[in-house]
Amino acid sequence: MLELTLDQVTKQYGKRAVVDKFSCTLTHGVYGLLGDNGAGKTTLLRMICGILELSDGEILLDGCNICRMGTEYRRMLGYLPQNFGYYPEFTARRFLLYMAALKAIPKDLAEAKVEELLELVGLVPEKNHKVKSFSGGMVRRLGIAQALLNDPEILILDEPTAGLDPRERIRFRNIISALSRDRMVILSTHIVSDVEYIADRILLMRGGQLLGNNSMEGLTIELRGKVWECYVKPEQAEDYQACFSVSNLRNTERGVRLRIVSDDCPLEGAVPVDPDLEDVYLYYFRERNTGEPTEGTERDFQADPGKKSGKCKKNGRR
Amino acid sequence: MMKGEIYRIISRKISLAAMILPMMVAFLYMILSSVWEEAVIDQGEVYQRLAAIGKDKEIAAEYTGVLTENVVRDIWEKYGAPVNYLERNTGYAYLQGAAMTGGNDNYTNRLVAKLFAQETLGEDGGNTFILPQNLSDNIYLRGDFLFGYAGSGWGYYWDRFLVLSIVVGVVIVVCLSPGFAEDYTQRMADIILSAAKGREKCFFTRILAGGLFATSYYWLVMGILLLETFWFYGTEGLGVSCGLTGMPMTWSQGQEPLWKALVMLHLSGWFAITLLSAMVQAISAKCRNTFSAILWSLAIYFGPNVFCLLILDQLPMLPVNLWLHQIIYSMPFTYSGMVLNAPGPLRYILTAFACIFLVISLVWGKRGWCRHQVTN
Repeated sequence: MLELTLDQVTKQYGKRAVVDKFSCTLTHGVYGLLGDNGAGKTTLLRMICGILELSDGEILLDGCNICRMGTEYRRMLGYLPQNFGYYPEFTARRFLLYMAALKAIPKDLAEAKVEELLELVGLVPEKNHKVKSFSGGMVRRLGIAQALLNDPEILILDEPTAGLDPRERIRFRNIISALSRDRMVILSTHIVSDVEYIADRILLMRGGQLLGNNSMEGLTIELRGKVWECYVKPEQAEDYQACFSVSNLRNTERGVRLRIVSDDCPLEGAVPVDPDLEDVYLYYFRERNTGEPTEGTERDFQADPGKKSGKCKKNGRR
Repeated sequence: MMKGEIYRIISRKISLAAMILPMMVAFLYMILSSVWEEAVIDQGEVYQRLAAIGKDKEIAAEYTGVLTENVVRDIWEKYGAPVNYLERNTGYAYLQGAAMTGGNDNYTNRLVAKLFAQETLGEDGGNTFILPQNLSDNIYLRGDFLFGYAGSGWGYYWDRFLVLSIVVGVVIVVCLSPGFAEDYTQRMADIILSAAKGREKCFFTRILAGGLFATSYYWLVMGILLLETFWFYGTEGLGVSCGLTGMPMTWSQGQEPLWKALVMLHLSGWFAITLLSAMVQAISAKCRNTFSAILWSLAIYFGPNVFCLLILDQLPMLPVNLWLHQIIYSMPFTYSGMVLNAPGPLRYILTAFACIFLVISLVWGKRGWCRHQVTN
């Protein structure tokens, strides 16, 4: 089983550390790399792919530095970058054959592999069309296909579902799930649902640093008791949104139901609920605020009798 | 990989447009600048274009062989000074007027006038030519120069070749500059550099593909020029000593047959184009976009010669200046012409410098590509 070790990996531009002493060990399975814009995800993935030099630290594959491994390491890699480039005048088939040659796949195998992958990503009808005529989603699928050409043992996907509609995103998720059995897949995304159902572990990244490295279950267990639901009046909903980290807002007959991520009970009558990955994301990447409600807001609410955990009578301070 | 790289080069619309234009120029250039201007006046008759070429061949055939003083005097005695030599005009009305003077004007007597005669003031007050009494010191009469019909087709081949080779050079710059630079702007570098053969192997495959493209295109364009010249002017001129045809071989080799000079010219031109293709792709590997790659490549192509003309030629020809001249002459723009004109040892020096430039380009370009850092 492959083991990819990131040891104090750092990337600095001037005084600014875009990736800051990032350390973790990865093996087989799907790793969801979650973080805001500017968290350093793409920079980290580029360093793992060997296309960006580290300022400090090292990346080891089974104990060997990937820089020294060179071609041997790149043979194991499949990479779909965030901004996937292509040659507009190439047809899809020609493009994949070109990439297959670059990935050192023998010609006789390449032809069969290209046909297989075009089938997998649903581009068979368009295989002889020029890529410049493709929609954004089709280009993305082509990108996924090229990343899989060499049956990579390490698959790096940076925002792979950008531009895909929900049906395509589900299809992609299923493809990755099926492929991840004997493979290491690192999937960077903003879209929580991309990883919620398929990731074995979630890596939370902010400001270039690793905030958390845990399974879905582990992260949600950590957040138990920090996700609350309550009902507020419609005219107050906006104020509470400004005060708290609200992961969901829904209008109901009883009022506006707020799902709030907070260390303490935010409002009287708020009841704790089971957290999901979006709550986890919001908890780690929320904007910091004082938790103070605006002037004139009522702070005293009754809990929903249908909820398990009973009433909370505290006010909304954090 | 090679097929893919060649396809990349020729599939760009700008490349296709750039390639077609010089081919049309090559095809028309010969016809408009040479064949169209052919004219002979013989015994009061005017011949133009293909008929003029035929007549010229007929006249020259009588004297084909080793050029001696007797041959020169025979030609002069029979045809006299050419009547349409100074301020040559091939318009039909002018030719008719010249024919009415009773004089002759053909390739043979024009060549004699050029190489042996002296210009003087005629009885009518106009300039004319006379053959000196003593021609024994003339280098063309030392017994190893072969005369024959070469015509302006072969006579000006050198000039046309150089013009076309410059045009081909510009096409090579346009077609090969996107080679690596385009990958940076189109973000293809992200996936290519992370592929198993995406670094050294990709670099050298592209260099080879670029060289192959440059070679094919060069021989295609020069082939058009060569075939046209053969078509209109025939093969009689190939055995003529190149010093008699306007091919500026160095004096020590002026007696060499034209075909030899042509072979050297084309091979040196091919080498220059190959060097250029490597330099352009190396520049492309270092530039971040196609536009700057084209600009830098054109600067490297034309710049040294411009620098030489404007600066170095105005300075005293001290050893350093001489060596700088040789270095610049070994660059693609001037290599093919200079290597032909240079004496033996200097040819090797120019070629050595050119090879050094080739190696530097390959090393520098490879570093630029293989060590490219993918950023936003």
